[in-house]
Amino acid sequence: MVKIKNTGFFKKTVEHADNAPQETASVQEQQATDAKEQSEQTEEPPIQRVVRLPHELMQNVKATAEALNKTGFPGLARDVASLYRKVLDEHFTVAVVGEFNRGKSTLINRVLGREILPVSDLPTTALFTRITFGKPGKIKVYDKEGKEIKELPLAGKSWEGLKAANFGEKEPEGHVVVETGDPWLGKYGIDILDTPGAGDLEERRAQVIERCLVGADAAFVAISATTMLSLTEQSFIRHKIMSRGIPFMAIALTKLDEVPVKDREDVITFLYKKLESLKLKIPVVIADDSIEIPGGKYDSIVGIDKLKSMVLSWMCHNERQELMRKWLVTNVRVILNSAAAMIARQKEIIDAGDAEREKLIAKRNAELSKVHEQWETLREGLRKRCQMCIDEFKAKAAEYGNMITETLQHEVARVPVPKDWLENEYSYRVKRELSAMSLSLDNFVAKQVTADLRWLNGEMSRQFKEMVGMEVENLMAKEDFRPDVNDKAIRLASLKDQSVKATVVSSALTLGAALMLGASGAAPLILATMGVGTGANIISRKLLEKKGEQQRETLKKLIAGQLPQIIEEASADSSVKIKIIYNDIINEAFATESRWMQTQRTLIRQSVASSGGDAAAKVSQQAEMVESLKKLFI
Amino acid sequence: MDYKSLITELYAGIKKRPEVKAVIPMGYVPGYPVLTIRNEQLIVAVPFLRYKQTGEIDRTIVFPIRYVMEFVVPELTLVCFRDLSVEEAFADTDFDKGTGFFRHDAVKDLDRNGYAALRARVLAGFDIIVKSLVEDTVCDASKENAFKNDLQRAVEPSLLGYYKALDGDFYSKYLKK
Ligand SMILES: Nc1nc2c(ncn2[C@@H]2O[C@H](COP(=O)(O)OP(=O)(O)O)[C@@H](O)[C@H]2O)c(=O)[nH]1
Ligand SMILES: [Mg+2]
Repeated sequence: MVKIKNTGFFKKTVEHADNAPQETASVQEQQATDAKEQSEQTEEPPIQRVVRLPHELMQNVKATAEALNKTGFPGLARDVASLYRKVLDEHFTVAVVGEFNRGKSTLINRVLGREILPVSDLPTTALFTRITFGKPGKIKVYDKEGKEIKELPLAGKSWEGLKAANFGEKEPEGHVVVETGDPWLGKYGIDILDTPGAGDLEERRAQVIERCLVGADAAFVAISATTMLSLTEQSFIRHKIMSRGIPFMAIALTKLDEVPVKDREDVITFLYKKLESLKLKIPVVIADDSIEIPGGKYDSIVGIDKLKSMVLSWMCHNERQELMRKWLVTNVRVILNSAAAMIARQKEIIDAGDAEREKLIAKRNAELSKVHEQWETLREGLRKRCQMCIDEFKAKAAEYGNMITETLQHEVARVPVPKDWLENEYSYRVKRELSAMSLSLDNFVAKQVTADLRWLNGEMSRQFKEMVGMEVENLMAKEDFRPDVNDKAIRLASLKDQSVKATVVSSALTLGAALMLGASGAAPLILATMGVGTGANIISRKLLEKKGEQQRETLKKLIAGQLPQIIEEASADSSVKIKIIYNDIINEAFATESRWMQTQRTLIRQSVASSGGDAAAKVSQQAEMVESLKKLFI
Repeated sequence: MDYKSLITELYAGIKKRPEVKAVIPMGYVPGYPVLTIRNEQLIVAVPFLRYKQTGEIDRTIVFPIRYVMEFVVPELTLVCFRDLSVEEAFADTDFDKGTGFFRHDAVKDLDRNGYAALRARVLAGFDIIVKSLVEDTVCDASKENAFKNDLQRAVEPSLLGYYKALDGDFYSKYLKK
């Protein structure tokens, strides 16, 4: 206790001083930022286009869209046209993704050197936000149809109405475009996407992020040094980013300042090790100019300039043009292949003689029913695998619980002053042990789910091949520009055409969505450890009254009493989430099947309706056209 | 022991304190503190109030101060928790009715950064006063004056009555115009 001598302090008035109050400083600051803003507004930098595709290729794509539209494939034509537009609009779009509260908005503000986006401990970013070059600065709000509904000044307060909290129960839809005069964005035609955090949010938001990722050239996954690389995040990287063929990505490690200075280097090393163990070759950057990391080992990845130069090196990458060309060609080919498959099936039925046609149609329908049965069996199999995964997870968690309890009790038996250990070490030790546990459990679930997905994928694509007779593998050329992803099952994920995509493994896609709902370890474990802190305080007072051995025994009991509950809570939650993951896959497989069935049935019906000579001629004309279009994209 | 930034640090971690989590309902945020000397001990009283966004610029509703937590300095242990709604002096206050709007005139010219800087300066001013009292050194008058200016500017005029009720001396010394 400190006794205050000057007890009359607040009864006296403040003496006057001649020194000018500090306020002048703030005025100067204000002027300084104003001046900065003005200077930004005077220079109008031209966009430095970094990539250009051959003119001929672009013409071909355009011609393909037109031809498909004319010959009765308007849906596919739209897909091709959107590919074309994407290439034309060469803005380099960098998405910043990650769970809520990972410091995404803060990161973007740092890169732009001003508080463009609102930052908060609560989920603030309700709508996904594109930041693009434009003057004067403004905020444009669009509804879910993409119609502009209002324009606001680029000021902190404008965000108030757009924050997640303001929408209450109702999930906001639509998006926001922020135009700002940032010269870096302007000079290189860079757009930045801020995404609503996904960690604790509804599926709809997960979809919003997916949608925005489709158009991204590069992504930074914001990962907080305090909650490192959860299963959610790992899965997100794999399924949402790598499987999307987003060519460039890096991890932006945030909140490193919350880690004690002496531990910072270790934390970065840990992250690298973890990435390595997961076989994810992803660069890491720490975009914080004020962070102190002793040792100098990681100087080359620290600083906002490092992040910026990373983006520029991606843009100027030799292979980018080639990647983009491949991306375009592959995607157009996928679309054309699916058109060809559709036509071939139709042609078969039309070409058959009248008597045979009936038989063929009956056969097709029987086949469809059989496929339906087979797929129902597959789904049943997956349900069983889900239960197995949960059981094993629980057993593992319990095993870990015992291990941690024993370890800590062992420690207590050896520390000189149990009370000090309880106050200073216990909660930290529990957290350490739990995070190690969550890492192992994460890996376990990831492995299990991947294996089961691979099994499902294999079965589904085998049957797909039998049914459609199309070489699925040929379509999967995407690994060309994702050399680091060696997981075939996941690679299968990004087929363009609905009816083709439908059949194969788009379930892999939704896996991420399930996981993004917060489907794993880290969050519940952290919650549980917070409880430990408070519990320790209460017990500690009682412990004070006891002596030596007694303290030790009480402490051991405390550990034995608390830990199983903590772990039980965490794992109970996790098993629900594992179920969500599997259910999501099952649902997707079901949706997949329905879509595929529908396409098939429509085709059969169409063939029946148009079995005359005209129809035959039309179909072979279509087939020819598609074949000749395919030749343009080799 | 270093008493350089006690209040700033208290505020930085306030929402994470178990006592605060336990009793302060969600949605309440700490307002500017008040210092009091009682029984030769320095107390920092942290008021909690809530704001309601209306979506309109400068029309965020400010509600009355509802809770006060008092911490003894420098240990910063909790010594008192008050819910003003059950205190006689506030019998006539409707705590569900706004008392004013944010941003008030004195800070209208500040943007988000500017306001955050003002708030940080005010808290740093508290730090200076706390340090001088705890270490029994003389408080630099020019700094104290700067603090007074900043504090007067930052505190919402609609809350001044509450500040006066929290501690008349502190109010007269720093907040009374
Ligand atoms: N200490 C620390 N806090 C940070 C950092 N980045 C963000 N935060 C805080 O984390 C919270 C969430 O930040 P925000 O950028 O809104 O995260 P988002 O939800 O991912 O966009 C806010 O309270 C930020 O002040 C950082 O690098 N260090
Ligand atoms: Mg955000």
